[in-house]
Amino acid sequence: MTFVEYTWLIPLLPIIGLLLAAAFGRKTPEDGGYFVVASVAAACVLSLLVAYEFFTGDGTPIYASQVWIDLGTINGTQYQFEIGYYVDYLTALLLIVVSILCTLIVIYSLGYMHEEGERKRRYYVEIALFITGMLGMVVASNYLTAFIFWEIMGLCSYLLIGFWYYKPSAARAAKKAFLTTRIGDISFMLGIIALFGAFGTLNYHQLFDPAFIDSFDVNYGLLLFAMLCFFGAAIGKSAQFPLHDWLPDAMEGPTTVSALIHAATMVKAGVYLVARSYPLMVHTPEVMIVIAVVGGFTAFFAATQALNNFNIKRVLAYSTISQLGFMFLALGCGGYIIATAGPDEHLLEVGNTGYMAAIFHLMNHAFFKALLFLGAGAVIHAVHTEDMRKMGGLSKKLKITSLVMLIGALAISGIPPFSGFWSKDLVLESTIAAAGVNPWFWILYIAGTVTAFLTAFYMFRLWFMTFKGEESEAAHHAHEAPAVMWVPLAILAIAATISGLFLLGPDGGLPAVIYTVSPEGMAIPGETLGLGWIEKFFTGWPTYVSLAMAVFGIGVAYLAYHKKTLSLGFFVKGSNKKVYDVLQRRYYFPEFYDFVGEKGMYGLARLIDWIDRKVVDGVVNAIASIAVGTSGRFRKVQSGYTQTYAAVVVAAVSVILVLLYLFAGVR
Amino acid sequence: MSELYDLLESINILTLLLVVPLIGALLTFLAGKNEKAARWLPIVFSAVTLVLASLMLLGFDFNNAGINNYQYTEQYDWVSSLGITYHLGVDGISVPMVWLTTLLCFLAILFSWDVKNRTKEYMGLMLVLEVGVLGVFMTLDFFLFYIFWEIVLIPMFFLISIWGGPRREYAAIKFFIYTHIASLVLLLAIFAMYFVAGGTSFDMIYIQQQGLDWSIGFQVMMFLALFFGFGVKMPIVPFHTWLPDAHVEAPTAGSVLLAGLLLKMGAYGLIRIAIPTLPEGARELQWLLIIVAIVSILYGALASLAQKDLKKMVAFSSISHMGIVLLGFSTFSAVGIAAGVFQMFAHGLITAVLFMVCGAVQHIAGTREIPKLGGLALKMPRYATFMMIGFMASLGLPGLVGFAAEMPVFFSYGFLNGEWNWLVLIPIATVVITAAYYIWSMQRVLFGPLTDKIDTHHLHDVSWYEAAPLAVLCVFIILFGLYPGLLYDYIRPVAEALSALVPMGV
Amino acid sequence: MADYTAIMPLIILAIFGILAPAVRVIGKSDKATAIWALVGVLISAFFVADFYLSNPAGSSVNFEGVIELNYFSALFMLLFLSVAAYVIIASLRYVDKEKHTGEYYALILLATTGMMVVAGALDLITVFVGIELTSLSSYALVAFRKTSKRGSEAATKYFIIGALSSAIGLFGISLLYGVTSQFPEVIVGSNPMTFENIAAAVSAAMGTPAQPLVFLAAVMIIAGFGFKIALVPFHMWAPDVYEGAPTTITAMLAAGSKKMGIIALFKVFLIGLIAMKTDWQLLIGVIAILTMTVGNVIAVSQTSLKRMLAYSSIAQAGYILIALPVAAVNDPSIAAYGLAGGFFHMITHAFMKGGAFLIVAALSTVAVGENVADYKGLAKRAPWIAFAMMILLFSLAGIPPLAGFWSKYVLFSGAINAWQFDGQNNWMMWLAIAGILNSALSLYYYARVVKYMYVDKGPTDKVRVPTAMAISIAICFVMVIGIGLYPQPFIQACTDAAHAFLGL
Repeated sequence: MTFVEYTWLIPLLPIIGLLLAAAFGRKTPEDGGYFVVASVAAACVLSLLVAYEFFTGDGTPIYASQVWIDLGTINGTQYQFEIGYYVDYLTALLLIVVSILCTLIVIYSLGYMHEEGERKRRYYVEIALFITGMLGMVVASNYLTAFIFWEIMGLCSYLLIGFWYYKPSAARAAKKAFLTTRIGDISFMLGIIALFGAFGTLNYHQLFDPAFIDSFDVNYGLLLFAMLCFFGAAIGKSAQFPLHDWLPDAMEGPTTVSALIHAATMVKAGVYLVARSYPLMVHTPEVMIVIAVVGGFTAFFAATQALNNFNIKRVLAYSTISQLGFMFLALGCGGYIIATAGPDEHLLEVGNTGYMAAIFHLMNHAFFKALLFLGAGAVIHAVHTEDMRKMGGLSKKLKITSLVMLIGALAISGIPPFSGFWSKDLVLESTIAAAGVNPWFWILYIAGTVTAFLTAFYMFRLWFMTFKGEESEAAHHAHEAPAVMWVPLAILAIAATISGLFLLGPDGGLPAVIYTVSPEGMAIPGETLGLGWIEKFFTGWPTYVSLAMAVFGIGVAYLAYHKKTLSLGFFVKGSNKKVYDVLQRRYYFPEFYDFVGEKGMYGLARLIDWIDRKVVDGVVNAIASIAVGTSGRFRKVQSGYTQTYAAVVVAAVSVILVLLYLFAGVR
Repeated sequence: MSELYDLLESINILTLLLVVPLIGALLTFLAGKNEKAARWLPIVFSAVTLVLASLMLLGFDFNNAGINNYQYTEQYDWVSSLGITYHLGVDGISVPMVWLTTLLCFLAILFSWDVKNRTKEYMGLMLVLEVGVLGVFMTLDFFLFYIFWEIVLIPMFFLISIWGGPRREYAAIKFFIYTHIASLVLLLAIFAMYFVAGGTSFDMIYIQQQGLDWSIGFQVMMFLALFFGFGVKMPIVPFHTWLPDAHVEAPTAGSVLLAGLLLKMGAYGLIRIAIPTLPEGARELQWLLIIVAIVSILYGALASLAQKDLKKMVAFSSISHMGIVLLGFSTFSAVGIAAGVFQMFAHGLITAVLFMVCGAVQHIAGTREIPKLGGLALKMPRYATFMMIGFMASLGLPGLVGFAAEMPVFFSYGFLNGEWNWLVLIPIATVVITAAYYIWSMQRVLFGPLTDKIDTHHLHDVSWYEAAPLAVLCVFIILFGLYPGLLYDYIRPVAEALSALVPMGV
Repeated sequence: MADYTAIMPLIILAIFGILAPAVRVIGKSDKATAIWALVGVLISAFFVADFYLSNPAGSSVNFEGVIELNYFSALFMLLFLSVAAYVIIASLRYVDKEKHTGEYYALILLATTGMMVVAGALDLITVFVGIELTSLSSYALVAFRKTSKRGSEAATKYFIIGALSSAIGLFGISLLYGVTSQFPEVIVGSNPMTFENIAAAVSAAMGTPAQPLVFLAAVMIIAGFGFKIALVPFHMWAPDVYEGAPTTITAMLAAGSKKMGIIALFKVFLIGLIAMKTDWQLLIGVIAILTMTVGNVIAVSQTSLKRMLAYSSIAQAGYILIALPVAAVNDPSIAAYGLAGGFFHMITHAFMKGGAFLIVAALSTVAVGENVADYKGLAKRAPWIAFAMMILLFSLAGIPPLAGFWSKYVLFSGAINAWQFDGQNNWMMWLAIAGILNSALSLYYYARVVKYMYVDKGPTDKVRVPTAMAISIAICFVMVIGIGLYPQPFIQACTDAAHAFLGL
């Protein structure tokens, strides 16, 4: 039997766990946590089987879908919304990453949420739905199906960020997350509408069909618009500039949720959407430039905000935004090269590197960011604070945690052989390649390299402040997390260490997800280079530059926060407050959002309300009161005097006569 | 033709649907002092009606669906000298509405379990209302249509003015007269068309066939009249101001039926009468329909955002969502019309939940003022769940019924008459405003620390007679959200036929 | 030997009327007198019905070319008789505290006779005689309660204005007489004042120096008969009189003599003055709109229920008047349709308004005031009466499916019909629009009463109206509901009547 045909089951499995937890959660230990763990694990197993089967298969996409809404026929075109699954290399890879991470995080939750009491049931129900959303989004067979699960994810992120809803800050953060991503969502809707109208279908297997390439030129305007819209959606979901500000606030949720959002689901959905739309996007170089620029800028912009933040989770949050920026940067550069390459085989291959780099970085980032968050969770679990100034010297108490956090920090900073190094380097390579086509991309390369330095710096700043230095108050009665929490950490640490080597993997390994634009525009398995990758990419000067940057960053952090010999006056509290404030106030973005929301939209609403009451309804009431008022006045004419009545009768007769004389031509 | 169909037709199912609640109403009025009877009779009779309607839904025959292929038809002479007949029949558009009516009436009656004051009148009026609305959705004779249309006003007038809030008298009279004026304009137009069609028959199908060769000028004039008559009920901006008052003052069940059914009557009239009878006029006035629809959508959403009273917010949101119905119709495309009708159904389910939620909070916490509430989720988790489902459905979350209606509407408008239409940005942007007021109010009502502005000791979760209807509605919201096809299969053929009538549209 | 079929009902009614006081004296019982009067009404009605049922539509019998019994006059004779019937039944308990009830019933019968005369009259003089018969009887009836100051005052007003109007009307009639005498060549038969002859003379007079006289006559007749109908601006007596009179008599004035006046007007204008319709159609249309608007607008601010109903009667007369210009259009089928609408509304209004007044009367006998405010909480005190009142009021407001709804909208649709087809009468749509806006306005004050009865809290003690009155109320109630549920035969009858009236 083939497992692929059961792909549709993957997103449904967590639903089963959800229902069981909802139904019997109260009576079972951990309030139904085990149901969810079991179901997610089952989904994970199935995903792995599907992925294995696909990677060992011939690589042609496998899909099946059925009609969801038959909207009816217009001018001969039958418009149907379909729903179904579609598996190709990208899907398979994402399935592996997502399902494994989700499983680990859910298991970890068993320990982390232990004290939450009966609120746990809600937690597990929501988290299961969340995972459903991501898995469904990954296996979806068309943009509408993807959008549905995309929105389910949005809902769950809203619920989970606001898990401790009685905390006003949490409620606010949840609201902000939902509304900000909602802006991205309508852009997604617009894209879908434009695409559907232009090509009459939303199915990947039809849109990615080479036969469609010609019709792209016909409806190029709409295609361009749709692709921009899709990237707009990605901006919202993946917290890119300028819709990035909800993500740091999203830290109000439980750490496990943050891990889920940042590592495996939610923010990755945006990247996945762009990667998924690659076959269409590579026909629109304009969009690719936008993606690259936004990505590159965000990477740098977010990194700066992480520099002097004291909340351990927020630092990680900013690093997520910045790393996502890297992924978009790579996608943009690669796509731009492909879009402008024409038939040039070599350029095409270089372009593919960008695509692959992004996916590769997505995978690696998933592992080490999950590691870092869960690690941070373990720390918070131990010291019950998120402020790094209250930590310090925890390495003695939390040996495992500090070790895995170190691995994570090394990975994200790009120190070989940890995973981050490989993918980040490929990202920078792709920018250079793009710069070869269009010199302006050098700016992006520089931004990326500087970001690499910043990343290394703030990560180790975090690590030193947390684990080194003299023991803080909180550290005294801190204790290591239970096995159920550190085992997943260990697994993740191993993954974060070796996942980079996946690059060298066997045939059908990572290289297989390279998106090669064959004349047909189909995704086909790229050839594997094995160790050839090393010399091909990791021996040039850029590698050494970025390595140097990373080391330099670590060094600065070491001097400044461990040895305390170097003072970074220009942005720490005290001295020159300007920079400090700007960073602390997040470049005034919250104020900006509030201004748009409160002053702009709400003000307009108040105006409309006023008009409604005073003008629109005012007219209605005015008419009514006029009618009643006249009545009162007429009533007074009725004097009751007979002579008046008689007079009126006579007067009326004469008036009528006069009128007739004047108008009715009585002569 | 299934056996079920034949069986139902042989027992005159449609007449039965009118007679059962009517008998129920009479018995309830005559229930006298017997409180128990006054409670149970309406529930039983509305339940029977619901069962009958569900059977009718199941027996419906898809094979000969399409325009003017009405099913379960009955026709008897009534006022032969004016050509008025008792003519009933249903098609793919009316069947969902009929079922929705019976469902909402049953649930609204159940929800009113705790009505203490003059129970039997209250319940009886609800059943009378049900008769009127069902009649509107089932009749195929203009005059009969108008009669049912007007009958609906009376019970609603009493429901508001007897069991309503503090400003109930103002609201009731305003509702009564405002909508009555609209109906009278409607009547003028009906008579005009009747005479132009030969003055021999009020039969909708007959007049519709006559209408095909009417002059454009006359069609436009008639369409304007009908549009006003139906628009006030829908309601359309700027003829909507009766709605917020009526809703705020009406008792919960009243609001549920008002928003869930009465507003649909307007939209139904538009799609059942105005557009098919006057296709040319409709086409000439497409620009007007679209402007009104867009304005209603945006205006309603913004006005909701400004409201402090939860119920008033929901009332304004109805304006916005009925605007989506109108927008769908105004594209005259198969997709737009089908989606518009589906939105009617969806809004019926959703708005029922919303108003029940408002009623419950009024009933439990004693106020609907958003600023006074807060943190209710701590004490009322089930209530919070219902509210969230309702709000999410209303802001168009995929997987819930609202989305399956809105998305196609936006699509059909996005490709108005086959061309990409930039104006689609306005209704789609409104989605964010909608999300804003729902999420914002939800945050302030359910989340945050428990409010100290009201006495929260006696706060309790929703009771069974509130929870049960809400649960049922939520189930349907999810069910039809996951399988919209269930309903689109009824609507689509008619929608395609209708859009074929209008000489344009994609 | 003349055929007495046509006047047999009148003779019987007159005889019973004249003998009524004697019966009172002999029988020494109000009940006996009332039953006597009722029997008279029924016998007379039997004769009318006998003609109605035993002859096909369009047939007619007349007495010496003075009184004609046809499908039109028979219908309205039956209407007036049924009005008399329910008034008598109601009076059985309403006036039992009074002396001279014999005269009371006698006057009612004579007034009814007068109305029937008008319904059947074939010439203008007969019409005038009938009107005067009714007027004089009703003056006395209004003043019937000697003790009541308001009653006597009302009667005085009624009499003075009535006399004035009669004089004006008679002046108009005499002018017409003069006109007819100027054109002896067109006069057929010995009686120059038959409507046919008037019509002939008028059409002959068109364009001659006599024309202005005809106009003058027309206006004077409008004033004279307009008084009976209480057309604006000849309406001002109506509220005071309706309020002051014994309420049963008010019912008769509103339901009976008002309709009589309308019939007279129809006869004069649709038959006698049809030749110059283009000149009066618009005038009547304006008066109609004026009447309905003034009536409704003033009714809005009334606190006395009787006055409110009085003004609403004025407005209803305005509605009915719509039929006059419509019935004058060239297309006979449209004319007949419009006229039928007018007739239909006269019938339904007789029952709606009569019933409403009777309810006021009935409640006043059990010490419920005549102000709107006194009806607070009536639904609890007298559920059935309140329900009947609500139905009657909603019927007056034209809420389906009640009698008033049908008649009112057949009436309005007549105007639309005329607008649709009769090219030069586009303005007639405004009659319909005015009517519709007015009924929307009227809904306001009707709904207010319903609100008082059903919504507001009032005294809770139960009240029980006298059986006799309950019966007469039930008659009106049943008619309103019955016509509402199955209007077909009534619409048919009115159409036949219209054809008979227009001689189609």
